[in-house]
Amino acid sequence: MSPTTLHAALMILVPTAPLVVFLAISFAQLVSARALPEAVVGRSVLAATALGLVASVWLSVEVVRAPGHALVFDQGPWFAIGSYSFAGRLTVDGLSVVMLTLSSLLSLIGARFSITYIHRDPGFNRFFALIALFQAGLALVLEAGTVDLLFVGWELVGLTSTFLIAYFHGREAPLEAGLRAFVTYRICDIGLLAGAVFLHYYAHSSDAAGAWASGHAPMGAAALEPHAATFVALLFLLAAIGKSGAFPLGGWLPRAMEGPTPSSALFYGGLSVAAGAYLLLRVAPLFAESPVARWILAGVGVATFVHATIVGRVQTDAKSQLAYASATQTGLVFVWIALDLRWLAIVHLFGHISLRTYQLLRAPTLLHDMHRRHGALGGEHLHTGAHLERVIPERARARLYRLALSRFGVDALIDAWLVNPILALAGRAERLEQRFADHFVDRRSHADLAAQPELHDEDLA
Amino acid sequence: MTAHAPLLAITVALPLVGALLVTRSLSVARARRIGALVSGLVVLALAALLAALVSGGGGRVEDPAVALGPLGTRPLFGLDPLSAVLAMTNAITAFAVLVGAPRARDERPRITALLLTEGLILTMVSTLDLVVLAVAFAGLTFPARARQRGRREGPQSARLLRYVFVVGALPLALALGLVLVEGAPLGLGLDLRAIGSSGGGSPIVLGLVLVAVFVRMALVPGHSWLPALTQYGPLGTTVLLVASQSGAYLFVRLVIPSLGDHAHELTTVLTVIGALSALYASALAVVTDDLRRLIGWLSASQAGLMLVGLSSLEPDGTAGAIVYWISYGTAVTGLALTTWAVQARTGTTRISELGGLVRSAPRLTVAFAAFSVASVGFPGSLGFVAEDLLVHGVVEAHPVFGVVMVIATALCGIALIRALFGTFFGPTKIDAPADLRSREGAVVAGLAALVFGLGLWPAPLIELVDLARPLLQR
Repeated sequence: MSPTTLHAALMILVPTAPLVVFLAISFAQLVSARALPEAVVGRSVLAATALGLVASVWLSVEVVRAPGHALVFDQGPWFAIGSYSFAGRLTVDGLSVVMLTLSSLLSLIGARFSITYIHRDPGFNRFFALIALFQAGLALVLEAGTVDLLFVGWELVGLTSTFLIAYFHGREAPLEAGLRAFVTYRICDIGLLAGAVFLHYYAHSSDAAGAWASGHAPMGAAALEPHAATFVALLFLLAAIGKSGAFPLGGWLPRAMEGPTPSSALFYGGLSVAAGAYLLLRVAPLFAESPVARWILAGVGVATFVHATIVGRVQTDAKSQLAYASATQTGLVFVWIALDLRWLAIVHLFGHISLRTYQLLRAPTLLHDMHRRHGALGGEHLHTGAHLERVIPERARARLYRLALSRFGVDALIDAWLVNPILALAGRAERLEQRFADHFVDRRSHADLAAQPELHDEDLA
Repeated sequence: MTAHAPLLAITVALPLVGALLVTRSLSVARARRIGALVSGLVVLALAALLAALVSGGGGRVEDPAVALGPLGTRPLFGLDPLSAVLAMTNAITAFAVLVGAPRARDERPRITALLLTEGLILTMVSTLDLVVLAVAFAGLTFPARARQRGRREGPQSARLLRYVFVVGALPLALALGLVLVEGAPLGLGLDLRAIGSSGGGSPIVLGLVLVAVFVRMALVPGHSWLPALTQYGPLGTTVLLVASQSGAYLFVRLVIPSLGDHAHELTTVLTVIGALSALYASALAVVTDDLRRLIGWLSASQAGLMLVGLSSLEPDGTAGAIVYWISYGTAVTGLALTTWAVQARTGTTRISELGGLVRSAPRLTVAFAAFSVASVGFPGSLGFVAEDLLVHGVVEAHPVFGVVMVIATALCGIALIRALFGTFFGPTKIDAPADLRSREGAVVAGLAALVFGLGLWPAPLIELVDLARPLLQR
């Protein structure tokens, strides 16, 4: 096997292995009356993740051995018509391998942790199927050679995130949290899809070399006019804000902690929320072209970390605190990208994801850990942190505390000024439309229909 | 290429003959077998015709010419790649509804109505004559109305169907009258193959046809009937009506070839109407509390998107619209079948009255989720390919409306996930007495395999659509 063929095979393997496992688990669940044994499901996901890790490490070594050269696998167009084609291209460069290796390693740890944590839960197989799909989606995001392909992985990550937040679907709160996350994702994904489309419009291509970054990532340069670069960069920023839970649309992030702890660790401790920062790093050359976009990105970053660090201090549960800690660091990474400090952003992201995932995985044993620490210190309490408290006067602290408890009213303001008026308007229009329907339809015996479902007895046999 | 025997006429007549046999059948089981057999045969016959077209590299399969007196001697039925692929989609849809719908105590009237509707749709897409096309187009609501007369329970939607018939067919009848009186002026002849060959169409005729198109495509302001019909009308025939996209077919066959010199101005107006319709319908889909009504709003939204794609007149935009036609037709059938299954098991489709169905019907939940993501163009489904092509095609000409389209699709996605969560998750309000039965499951799995299989390997379909694309260029 030639090196090129081997590289291509490894690049394909990383997203395909978990995807195949997802399909196999789902198919087996649907056709079989009995659930698959936990051991089979858990080991399948572990095996796929381990394969992904081996392939990622191999690819990393290859990229390090040939610095400045990206590994590219070009399958040709996935589909094409006229002058437009959807390129099926995978690219692994310096930026991808860092994230790919880290995500494979953390996924492996997370999957192993979950086998014990989710043991005997009725949704065990569903959980692992979703984790496998998430890994496939994330690998596709990290290996995508075009924004079009990145969007495919991006949507998979968003959908699995939604279903994992709503994992305990017997209660209302996880469902509401999942729906809120999905709505935010979906609205912000408009930015990614529109950004991809406008890249085609301005540069007639959506791949790195043709559109936004000639040169080895993350240090490329964009080939777009400044006004086009500003517009497209801001669209991508919208997508990143949604995925990373950045200000002002981060209201879903603490609510996302309704999901099982291992998925919270993988998604919101780092990998899923880091996808937003990864997207910005991918298209960083566009931001470098546009001072306006950089200022706005910096503003979002600063607002995110100030908001998250203050609100995080008043949270009463460990997972919510960690969610805000995650948002704080993501805000800082946004600032580094705005300052065009791309390698600093990558290093920061790497450290933040690793630490946060570890902290979230340890969150269920928090009290146990505290007692051990307390015992080891001979009963002494550690008094660390509280930096903000030291610099802010006491009267302002009380006001800030009240604001932090209400999360600065950001969600409430968005709901009051944007969501509720739109929903009220749509609701009014729907009631008018319903009146039209009722005018033309005689509903005299509608109640009879409800009393007599059309299901024939033989269908129930 | 001309066939030696009137194969197409026979294929089109099959469902009509099947409908006759069903009315005369003595048992429901026999009627079901006839329905399944006839619709299955139609699928096979159309697959053979489609294969012949593809192997011939496009062109048209025509029945032998018949003498039409003063109108000359010409074939009445013919399939080009566009009509062939649409006929195939409709045949699959009809087969799925006939075989996969929940069973009723006596469903003979339903089977008859479905076969008649299928026959009319096939007539519409395969005829080469304007009058036959207009009659089939107008008559699409008749089978459902005829069935309504015999119903004793359930809401009576005959009045609504009459309204749809009148506001859709009247302008078309007037246009046809003008064509006949004026002796086929300005390019609009009775032979569909000759339309547009002598320049643009008469503005009055074109305007009247556009009114018919607008109403049947449920574009704002002629949209209100569609959610009403999906909510209260007979679901099977309504789904066939939605999946057939008869308004879009009229647009493709009559409007695009007759656009003339003012195409740009007109298509801009159509793009605005289509995009705003899509946005309005998707916003209402988010707030509606009825699953069946939700299907209506989704369909209205998708019709708006299709109009935008077709009006772009760009290769990717028009190809995207056709792929959308196919993918949405298939996905909405799956969505309707699963919604129908919910209604049959619980007696309601109100989201607020439902909840927690996943515990008693997990397969039904997976099916609903799969068709939900397929309907809104999620990656992996054919809808994603369609949406990608559509948006890229539209952005070239109208960048702002490209973004509006993306917003509309995002709202439709939110509406469906909200419906999924509300109906199948949360505290249990109603238990389903049974999950999807194996018959229903097989049909739903087949539709899902089609939508997701073509979503992962879209190249063969795109090549086929590419053969059809020249028919959509002015």
